[in-house]
Amino acid sequence: MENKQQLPNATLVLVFGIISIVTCFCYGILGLIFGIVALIVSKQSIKLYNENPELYYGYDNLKAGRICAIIGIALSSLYLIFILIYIIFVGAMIPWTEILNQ
Amino acid sequence: MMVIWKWLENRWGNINKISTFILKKTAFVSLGSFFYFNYILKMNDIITFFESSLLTCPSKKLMGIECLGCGLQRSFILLMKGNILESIKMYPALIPLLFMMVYLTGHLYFNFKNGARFLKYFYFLNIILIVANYIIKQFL
Repeated sequence: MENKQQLPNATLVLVFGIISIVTCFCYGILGLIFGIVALIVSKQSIKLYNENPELYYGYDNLKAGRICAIIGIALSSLYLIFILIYIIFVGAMIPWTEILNQ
Repeated sequence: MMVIWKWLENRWGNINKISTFILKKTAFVSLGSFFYFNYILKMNDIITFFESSLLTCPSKKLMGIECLGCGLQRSFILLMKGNILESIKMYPALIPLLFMMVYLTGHLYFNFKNGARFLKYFYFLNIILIVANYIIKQFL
């Protein structure tokens, strides 16, 4: 088996996984989108690789990209939750009754 | 450069070796300085363009707290000015981030051995740097 094929979407998963941490700023929404896309694509590719592993190469890229995407999702979702909590607390601290009674 | 040297050697022969050497040196230095000054002028334009078009962070503007990426642009401008220490103080994860992007493109083109694993560890390093910098800036 000389003519090995590269796993489809392996490089895409790696790139998106790394971009998900680079763009996790600004509310973490962009990072979440990139990370989730990378995870979904990687799931399909892992299934394809497990059916016949000797056909493809580039599984290391896929694994690394998957880990990067998981961490990116975790971090950006944590950041999003932090910002939501902050907004809720600030909203609770505003004196709504005084504003409404005026 | 080699063409000019060959032409000079054909013209003057090996008798006048010192003069060809001096000519070669002067040509090299003048060309190099020309490119260097051109580069500096262009870099000045680029830096002023970046400084005039800084994006403001929405979370800093609306809520008053800095986000994870605050300081990235300022640090990049400091790095372009050659102020490496100040840029590391401003945002320590910038240089590893840039290196990681360059390594990623290289890995995608040339398929380094153990490239994916290296990228993974670099990713962990970047995350630790970014989060630690954010915590220190925000809470300490």
